[in-house]
Amino acid sequence: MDVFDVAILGGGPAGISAGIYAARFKLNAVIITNSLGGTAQTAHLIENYPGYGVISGFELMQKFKDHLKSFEVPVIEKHVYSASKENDFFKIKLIDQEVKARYILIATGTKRRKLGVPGEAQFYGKGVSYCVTCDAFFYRDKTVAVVGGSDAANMAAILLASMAKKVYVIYRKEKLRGELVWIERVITNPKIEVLYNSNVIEIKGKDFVEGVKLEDGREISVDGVFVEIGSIPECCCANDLGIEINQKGYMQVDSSQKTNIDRVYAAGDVTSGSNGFQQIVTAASEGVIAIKSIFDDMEKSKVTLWKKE
Amino acid sequence: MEKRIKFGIICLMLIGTLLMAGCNESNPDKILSESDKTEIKKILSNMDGRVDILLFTSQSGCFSCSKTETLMKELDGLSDKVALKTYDTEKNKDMATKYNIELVPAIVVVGKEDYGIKHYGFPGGKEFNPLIEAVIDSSRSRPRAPEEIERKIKSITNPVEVKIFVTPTCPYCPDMVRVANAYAIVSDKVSTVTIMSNEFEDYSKKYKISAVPTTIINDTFKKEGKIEIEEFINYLVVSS
Repeated sequence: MDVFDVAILGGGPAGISAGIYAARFKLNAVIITNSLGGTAQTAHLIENYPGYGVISGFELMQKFKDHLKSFEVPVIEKHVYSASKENDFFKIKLIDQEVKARYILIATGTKRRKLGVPGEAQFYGKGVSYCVTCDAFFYRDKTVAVVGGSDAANMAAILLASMAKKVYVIYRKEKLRGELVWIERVITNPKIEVLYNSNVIEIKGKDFVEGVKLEDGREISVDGVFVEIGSIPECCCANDLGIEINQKGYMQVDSSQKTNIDRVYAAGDVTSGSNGFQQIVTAASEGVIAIKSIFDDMEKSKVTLWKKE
Repeated sequence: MEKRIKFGIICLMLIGTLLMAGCNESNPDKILSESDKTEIKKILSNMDGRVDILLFTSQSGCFSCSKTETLMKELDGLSDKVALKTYDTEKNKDMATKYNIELVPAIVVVGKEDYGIKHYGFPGGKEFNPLIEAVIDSSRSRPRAPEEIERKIKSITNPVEVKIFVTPTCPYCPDMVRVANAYAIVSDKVSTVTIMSNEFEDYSKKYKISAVPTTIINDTFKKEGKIEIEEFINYLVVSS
């Protein structure tokens, strides 16, 4: 069995930054992730990560990965099934192997929130999409709906408007939220029409999506529906380890990114940290803070760095 | 420590955003920058044996034949172990038939053995990495999968063709291509075809594709989204 000082669960901005700093602190760390790069890779454009001006999510995360690679931190691309505490170690179960680590850093981020309306599951891949950078191409000269009103929804609408004939943004509140720069681009785009105070209650069609039904009874004909209504935390191992979850479902951490469980830390979008402001820059910094805290804790408890068996 | 290599998947994280510029509609004389070339040269130094890249184009032209040929010529110049062979599907009908070429441009990677890895369209954007990885994997002998998977692979008795529909801007697609190619490399019954949906609209419509990645096995089984490597083998077994 492989034994590490720290098992970093998650390979997004928090996990990769943690991996880089772990290597610099000479910790024997491993990153275990479903997808190195995480969901940040799907961002069409990132305009607020310092130092890069305008960059795609894929390109920025590629730079993260390249940087990580220069430190030769091992990466296991597998799903984590469970984690348990056994004496001085945590045992992490993967599909065909187990990993032991003295510390765990959970940086598993979030997963996409679904609408939960009739037709959504039925038409997934047949007009319903959760990835605008993947599927926008299929809606050239067609009519589409984006459900949501946050930055992700606004960016999706702008990208789709560059290809589609018409884009509806369907949002449940009376005004869009997020960065004003995106909102301005949405409301001034002649191809985009925002339907405020509107809720989708059904996605309709036969073989493919043909329209959406709104709560007020209106039915709008569309060829595709892009769901951009935020995300929910992917609280890996919270129940296994007894990690405290806050009312909104995020892992409760203190200013050192420590959870209520000794030697279990969390960082990035899965946590209550950074005043709830979920950004690539805040996730990266939380990952770094967590590693520094782990290092300090090891020093304080005079733990000999665990080496591979 | 177990290597992170999942039998045949070589995880290259170096190239990343190369060729995004190559996704434009023009046909530049040069696609790779000097720094791209240096990086790729370094990666190709991991090759064991020689690999033939068979490029199929069409005399009557196609959307991306010219720029794909430019890119493949550049790739050819980056390693002594890579040999580019270009065929016109109309003049070389026998070769086009042998490799069952339905669309152009088509790239077939043939290494120590013909592992059955084919790509339709300009391999730009995020799809360049899996292609380079396929070239490296094809330069090596057929590896063995972990025991449990090897047992399932042996139960694939009939040929299985896996089509993966992708777009150059899809972040999940390269992983799906890697998973499918990994099985093509470990099993002589499995072959893969990656299709750039953005280039082949009619072909994509024929298969009713409206999301990527979409995987189709033997033109019957269809699944949207990424399929995990451990789950994928079960679909192959059922489809064979």
